[in-house]
Amino acid sequence: MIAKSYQSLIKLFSSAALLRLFIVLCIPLTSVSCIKIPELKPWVAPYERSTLSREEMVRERHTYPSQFREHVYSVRGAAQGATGSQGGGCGCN
Amino acid sequence: MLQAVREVVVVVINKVRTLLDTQSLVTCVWSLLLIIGMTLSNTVMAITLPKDKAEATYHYYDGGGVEVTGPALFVRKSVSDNVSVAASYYVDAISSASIDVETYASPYEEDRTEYSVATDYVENDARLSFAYVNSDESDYQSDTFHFDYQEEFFGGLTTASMGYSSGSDDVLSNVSDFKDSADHDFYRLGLSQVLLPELIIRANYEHISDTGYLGSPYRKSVVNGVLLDENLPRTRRSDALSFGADYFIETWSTAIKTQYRYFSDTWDVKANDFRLSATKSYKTNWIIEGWVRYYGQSSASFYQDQFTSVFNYRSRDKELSDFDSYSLGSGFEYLLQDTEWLEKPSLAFGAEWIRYQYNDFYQYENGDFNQNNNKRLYEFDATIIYVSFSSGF
Repeated sequence: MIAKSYQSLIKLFSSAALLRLFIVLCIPLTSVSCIKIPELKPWVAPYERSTLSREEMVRERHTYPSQFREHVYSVRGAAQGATGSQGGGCGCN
Repeated sequence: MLQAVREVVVVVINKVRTLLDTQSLVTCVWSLLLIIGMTLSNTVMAITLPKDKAEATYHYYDGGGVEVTGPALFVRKSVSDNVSVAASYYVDAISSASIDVETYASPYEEDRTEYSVATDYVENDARLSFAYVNSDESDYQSDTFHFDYQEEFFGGLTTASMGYSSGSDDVLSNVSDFKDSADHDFYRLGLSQVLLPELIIRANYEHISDTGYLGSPYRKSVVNGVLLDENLPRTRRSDALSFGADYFIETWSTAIKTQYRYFSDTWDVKANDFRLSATKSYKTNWIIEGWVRYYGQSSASFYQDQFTSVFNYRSRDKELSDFDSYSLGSGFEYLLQDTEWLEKPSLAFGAEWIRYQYNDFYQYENGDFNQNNNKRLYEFDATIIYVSFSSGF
């Protein structure tokens, strides 16, 4: 009975993708309880971040101009993705 | 330098691909982000809703015989302390007499209308976003759902994000009873990190899986001077990885923003693009921006300007050919005075010039593909212009 269950379990995990997924999920979860990660403290304090919130540093204050540019780039080329913007599909040719 | 970066990125992507499939990769990266989050959660700073905003934009594109103009409207309003809703309306009025259209069909005019609704929910250090986008053309309908999750760690210095989008398209033809469909799945991960009081860096990864009809029912391939319908594979998987940095130079009062992206797909297209911009304030009301961009790609394995025999997969889509493009743009923004109803209103104007230079796509004299002696590599210039008004309220 136990041997049969064991065989079934082995068969289930013989699927390479499933096994990889299991390992990927297990390693980080067990790591959390086993490894004591030294505590880090933020090295840029909130009062030091005024430069990052300056008008010149703001990205996409106007939403559409940059989206329109990205749309033109993606329609006229094959590359897409990883630009941080999203859109809908279109048959633009 | 670009070549070296590209090679490193290729090696990393290929290594990761051999170790894990895509779903596992996403799970793995997100699990690692959770560990970092748990470790640093005692220094968490609350994330805020995006500000209430209204925007009206007019956009214009002219290049390669194609003209696209139209308005776009966007409004976002918070409905409680942690929920906001948004809606948008976008129109492309297209007039096309491109080299493809002149070769295979007749010039045409049509409209594309896009509607979207979105909502954001924030709780402590996390933001959950949902959006639905509908795009409608006479020969192409698309519905796309977006789900995004963003979380700040480490006192707001680190922001991690992950997202998934699912798109479903119907592809039609205005000149025949052709009908087919295409589905798209997008998986994305992002990370931004404040490194210095004046420096923030970003990395984004996106995997896209396309299935179904991925070509155009109008486009043809050329086999020994004869036009035949193009035939593209019905699956495509792509990976894109981008890195960026924004740095503020105090002595020049100027922000320098850079972004590099590497793209590769199962159709053998490999692309690199790099963007550099400088943004500077002038007096108290003006913000001036200038940028340059380079984009280059290799051709798809089944692309040829002219085929010498009938291959199963064949295309003469110039967007799948080997080409380079160069952009130069500038924009101006004028910050208006706050009023009783408007908060930080501003008016923006910008223009961009783009040159496309094709390395394996030819323009034939009088469209006659047998005139091999009277052909030249195709190139064209495009212009983008926009005017936009945006304001908080």
